[in-house]
Amino acid sequence: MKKVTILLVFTFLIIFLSSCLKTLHPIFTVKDIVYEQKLLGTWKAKASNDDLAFAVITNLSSDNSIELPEKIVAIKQKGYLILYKNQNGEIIDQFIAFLARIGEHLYFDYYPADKKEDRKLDEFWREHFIKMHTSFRVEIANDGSFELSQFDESYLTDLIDKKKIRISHETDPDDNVVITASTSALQRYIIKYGDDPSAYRSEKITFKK
Amino acid sequence: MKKIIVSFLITASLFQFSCVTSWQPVVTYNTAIPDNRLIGTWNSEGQDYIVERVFESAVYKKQKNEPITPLIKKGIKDSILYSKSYIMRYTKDKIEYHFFCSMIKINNEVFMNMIVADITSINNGGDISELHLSQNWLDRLHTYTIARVQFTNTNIIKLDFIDGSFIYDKIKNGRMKLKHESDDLYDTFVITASPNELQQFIQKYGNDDRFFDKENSVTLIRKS
Repeated sequence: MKKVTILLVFTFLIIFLSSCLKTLHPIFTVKDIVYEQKLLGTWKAKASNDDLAFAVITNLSSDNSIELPEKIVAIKQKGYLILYKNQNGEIIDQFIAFLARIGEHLYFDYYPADKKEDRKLDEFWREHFIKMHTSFRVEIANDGSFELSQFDESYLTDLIDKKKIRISHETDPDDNVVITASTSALQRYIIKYGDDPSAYRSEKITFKK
Repeated sequence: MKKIIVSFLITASLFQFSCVTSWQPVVTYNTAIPDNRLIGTWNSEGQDYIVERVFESAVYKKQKNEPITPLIKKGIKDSILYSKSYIMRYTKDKIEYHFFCSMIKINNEVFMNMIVADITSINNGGDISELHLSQNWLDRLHTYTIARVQFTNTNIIKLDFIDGSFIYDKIKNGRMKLKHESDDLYDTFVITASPNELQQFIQKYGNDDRFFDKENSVTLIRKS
């Protein structure tokens, strides 16, 4: 059976996340973490297609209401909580994020953080989902603004289909693919393809104060 | 958090136990068995559950005309699976939860797969935008739970969900072999075995009472 799709009505981020590369494992280990104080603050997050949202980036330890896995609690001082808000100031999405240096570049690893509205959903229903990681290359400009480029899932699945890469993944009877590569395998992928623009989605998100 | 629920005894939910989830189904179109004894309105501990055939369900009727986000993939295999499967729905706090349920017989026992089918609000014609859920639900991996089904008689069904903690411990200790992925940093655990591997696993362990925790059992009493 085709994986069931729930009918949710969203705007901004869906454009970025719909064909983004999602992985079961994070792209970083604790030793890769970099903390940049200058990323904290409220940002205008603008996509190339003119969609605009606001991003509020705080230190992960500043909000005790966020449910964190036990080992993430131990490193939360080095992490970020990233809230995306619409123009009415409503939170539309939030993520636990860690900045990591992999090879020559900086990357964000995003992991969903439930909003209070999400936590109101029935536990049995919620437990039928597994949160996935999404990752972005981060380029910080001299003026402090920064840009996120997101890995494109179809680029990797194309490499897999053409047998140009060996990376752990699972394919179900309906050809749905989930990338199950370990963190070290994901890092090898990033180091090998991280400088190839076609490995990323064409749209970028620009963050300006 | 581990994809294993460790006893949620606070709310009055029917499903308050530890589950283990798998990315792939144990039931496929060519192994599914229909059993219409499941159809009807059921109650457990004050919570009503409605079970109907997929093709007669509101979620199917709604999504079959949705070109963008279809529940229904119009392939022949899916049609066969749907024809033998059911939608179970229940309402809590003005939100209706819909699950796709299909069954398989292994070792003369019936097992059920459940996966989310939809979520609707009982207000605004089902539109859930008022719930203000995170967008990132769309990027989460949908997974299946597995339960043993016992039809005590036409009016009582017992669902024994596989004990997630038991399976997790056995697999992590190397005492059970089943393809899975786990991430220690984010405490993620999911079974990635194929349908065939899952069937073999249940064949091997499905008769072991430790496989099912008493706290993971639900008794449904027929209302109509």
